[in-house]
Amino acid sequence: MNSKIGSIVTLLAIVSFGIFYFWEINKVSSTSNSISSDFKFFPKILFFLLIFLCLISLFQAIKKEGTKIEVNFKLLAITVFLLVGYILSWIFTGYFYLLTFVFLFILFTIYGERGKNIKRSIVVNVATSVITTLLVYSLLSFLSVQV
Amino acid sequence: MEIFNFDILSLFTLTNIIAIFAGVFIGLFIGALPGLGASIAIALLLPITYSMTPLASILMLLAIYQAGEYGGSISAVTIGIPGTPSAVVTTLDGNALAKKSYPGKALGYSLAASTIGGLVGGLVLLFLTVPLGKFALKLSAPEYFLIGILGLIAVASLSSKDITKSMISVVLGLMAGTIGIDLLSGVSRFTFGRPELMEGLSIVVLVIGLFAFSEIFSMVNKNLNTKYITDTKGLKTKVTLQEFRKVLKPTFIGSIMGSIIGIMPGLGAGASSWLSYATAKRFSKDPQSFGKGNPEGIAAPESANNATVGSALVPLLSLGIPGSPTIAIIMGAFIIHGIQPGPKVFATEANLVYGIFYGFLIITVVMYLIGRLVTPLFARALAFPNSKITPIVMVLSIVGVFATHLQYIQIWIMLGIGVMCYFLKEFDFSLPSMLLAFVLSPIIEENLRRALLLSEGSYSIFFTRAYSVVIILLILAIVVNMVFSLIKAKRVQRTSIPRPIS
Amino acid sequence: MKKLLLIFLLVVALVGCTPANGSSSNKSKDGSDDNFPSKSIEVVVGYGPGGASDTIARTVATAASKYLPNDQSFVIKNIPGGAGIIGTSEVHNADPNGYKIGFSPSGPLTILPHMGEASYSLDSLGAVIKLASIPQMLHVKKESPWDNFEEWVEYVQNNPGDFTYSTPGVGGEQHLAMEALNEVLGITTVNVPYNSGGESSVALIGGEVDGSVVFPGTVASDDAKILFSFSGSKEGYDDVPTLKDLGIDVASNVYGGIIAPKEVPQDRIAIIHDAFQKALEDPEVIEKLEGLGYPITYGDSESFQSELESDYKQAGDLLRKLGLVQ
Repeated sequence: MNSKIGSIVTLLAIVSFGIFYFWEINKVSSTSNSISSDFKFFPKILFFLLIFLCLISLFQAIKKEGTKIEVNFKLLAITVFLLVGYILSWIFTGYFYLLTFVFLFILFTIYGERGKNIKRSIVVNVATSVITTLLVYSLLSFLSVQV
Repeated sequence: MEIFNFDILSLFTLTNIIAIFAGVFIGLFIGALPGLGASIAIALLLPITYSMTPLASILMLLAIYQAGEYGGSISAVTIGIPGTPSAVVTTLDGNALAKKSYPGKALGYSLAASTIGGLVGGLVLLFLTVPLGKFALKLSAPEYFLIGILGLIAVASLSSKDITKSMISVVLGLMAGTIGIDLLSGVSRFTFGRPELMEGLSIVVLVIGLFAFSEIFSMVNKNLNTKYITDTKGLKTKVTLQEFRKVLKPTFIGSIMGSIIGIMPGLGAGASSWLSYATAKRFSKDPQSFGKGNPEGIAAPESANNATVGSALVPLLSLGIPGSPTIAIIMGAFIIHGIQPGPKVFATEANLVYGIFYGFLIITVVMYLIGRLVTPLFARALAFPNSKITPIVMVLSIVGVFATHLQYIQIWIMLGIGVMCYFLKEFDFSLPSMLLAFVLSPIIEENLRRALLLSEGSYSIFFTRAYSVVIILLILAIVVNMVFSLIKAKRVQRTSIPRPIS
Repeated sequence: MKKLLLIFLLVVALVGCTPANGSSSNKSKDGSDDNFPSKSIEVVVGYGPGGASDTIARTVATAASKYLPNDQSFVIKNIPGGAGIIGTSEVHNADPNGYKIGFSPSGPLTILPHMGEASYSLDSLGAVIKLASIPQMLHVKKESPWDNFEEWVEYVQNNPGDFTYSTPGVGGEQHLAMEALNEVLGITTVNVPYNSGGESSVALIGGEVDGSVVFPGTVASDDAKILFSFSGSKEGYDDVPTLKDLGIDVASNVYGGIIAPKEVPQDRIAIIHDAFQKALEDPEVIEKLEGLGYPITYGDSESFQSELESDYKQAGDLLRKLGLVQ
């Protein structure tokens, strides 16, 4: 991925966010006679400032030479997918500790080195998952939080 | 003087000593865990202290707070993820120094600076509570607004990379701060009808999303198989006196600034660590090396955030208002024992107050001792390969956020912010600027509007109050200084012989 | 070395498992038995530990546990957020078996439902027992030229829009109370909001504002004097005149009590009510609450419910007048 494209896309995303922000704050009707009670004053200033700065930055980004940036989209996407899955499963089933153990184990396996000793890494991964889950359990009980 | 009439020996009861040691241990441990900060531990353990004596409970909670402020730097240094919001700044130079294979040294600097900062804060508390309390009363909305602006400028002066993008980050942070019920109009902004957002974005969620998750995604992207601490020798946390002398200046700056900022209600350790980093950088002999592993960049914020703990008690005891959100929770310990903090408390509960003052100093010393013993252990425990650390930190972050809020929506917000900020970080936006802007946003907006409300719309209030004028001059001085250094840098660039591309 | 570390963590984990007591001791079936209560009862507080609500709730609930049958107890659960809405919603959504109730101050029940974010209302929540009051009073600095209500009224009538007073927020009970007074007297005063009662008091002491409408417990200073109280009755503050005493028909009460989901069976409500009522007579409770300035004002289910409902209406009228709600 080229950093130039990345910057430009990000800046455009920020601009659209800014527009959404402005639109959202304008939705509420208001009648205020002074700045002190005007809840739109500050957000509006920020919006204009944001657009102004983003335009400058876009201009700068287009002029500059881009560098190559390595982005491992596949792994990132898998990670996000697993995270979302983990949390959703927790919300809908409630088996927090079991899910935590499974989640940890899956990630350890995916992230781990493609080493020679598969048996050993499985044992290590299981052990680490178990211990981490226990640690989380003791932490939560100590803080009296129910999951 | 009354202070010296206090019988120190009465402080050393078994309950108090256990309270202090337990508090330091808990604070260190939970502070070191990314995803859980000192304030969560204090909030969740507060109910347990109800059955303890007032002094023991307050000392324990303060010990957690103080040790937590140091503990946050342990993970900041070892894995580059701050353990508490105020350790964000420590991550910059701390982790850089660790990557150069000196994690022990970095931790040593952090511990020493934290201890000194804590002691200074404690001394301020002991000697200056009453006069400072009276001074804090003189500051009003215009001054707080200007202080907020000062903070923003300090942030701007720090960004060395892409100034435009840093400013954009600042604006984004300010925008994030507008979420929630607007104090001066009662209107809910950007809450989409959800009560969970009525009190604004949670700083815990923001810090974890901004720093923990974006760093996690960075690790996933790049270096899952690296291990940062390969050399166990580098884990010794000892810092020689000679080495420490080099960081005396930033430690001094951090302690003083941390104490000052802690006195002003609403600011807290996040702001104080940032501002002292900026100031230390300005007055350093080698500002260019900040961010690359300069110990000064560790000493300044760490001494500041510990100094803030002590001085944040000043407004609590002298005025009855907490100097930081975490102290607000500790205030609960006072109230539940039937003690109303404020100027009256000196008369009605003198023993308790002086017990707190002296106890605080003891807490700092205990923190140093236990810190020396325990830090290498924690650091080694954190020294797993990234492929293991990453999922563990993910789980801890989720647990930390859930433990703080007990709401699933906060976890989603944290994830969303994490993903967005990963990309922002990749493309050179400044996440620390965003965080500080977020913290300063309500201070700036509320106080501006309140100042105008009090002056009936007249802007002259900023120029007729002596304190405001002082701050304005300070701001102008800094801005002029910044402009001059920029011009000088450009001039040097132009006249220097172009170096060959390495 | 690594192995040692792993063992260390294991030990920590095991040790950590033990002190965890508290919550659900005997998980019986969801309380469909007649032996109520057969496990501890959760009292949800919509604010963080250490605030006024938490303090009152905890003090009374701990004592009330003594009067629960079957050796059970009340356990406080803090669920802060949304200015009390989140905790109150939790009670609203709870199973109507009496094992999850809440303590709430009047604000989230009488004011917040008008603002749109609350998913509950006084129709879905039942009042069980009113516990204590949090009276709000107008404070001014000791050196200020007004020594009593009449002198103050004279000043504000001659200087409209001049007198500034601090409150912990816009649309809160304090602001609304003052606005109601303004209307009855035909005066104009300026509300300056702060983030808490504490900050409001400090603003007064620091001279930023002319007056402060707060709970007297937050003013930890001798530098202030109280002109009058907004409460409907003296409530233990015998030397402070209430507006009613002064002949003005304005009263704004701030108080807190126990609420529960509407459909909880009456006999269980009665058990809870009686336990709390006995706690209010406990000398330790009286000493602690009144020591902090919270007068104990008992009210049974019906009177508590009707007081909430009439305050809800009154708040609605004022909010619409101020343009804070449609």
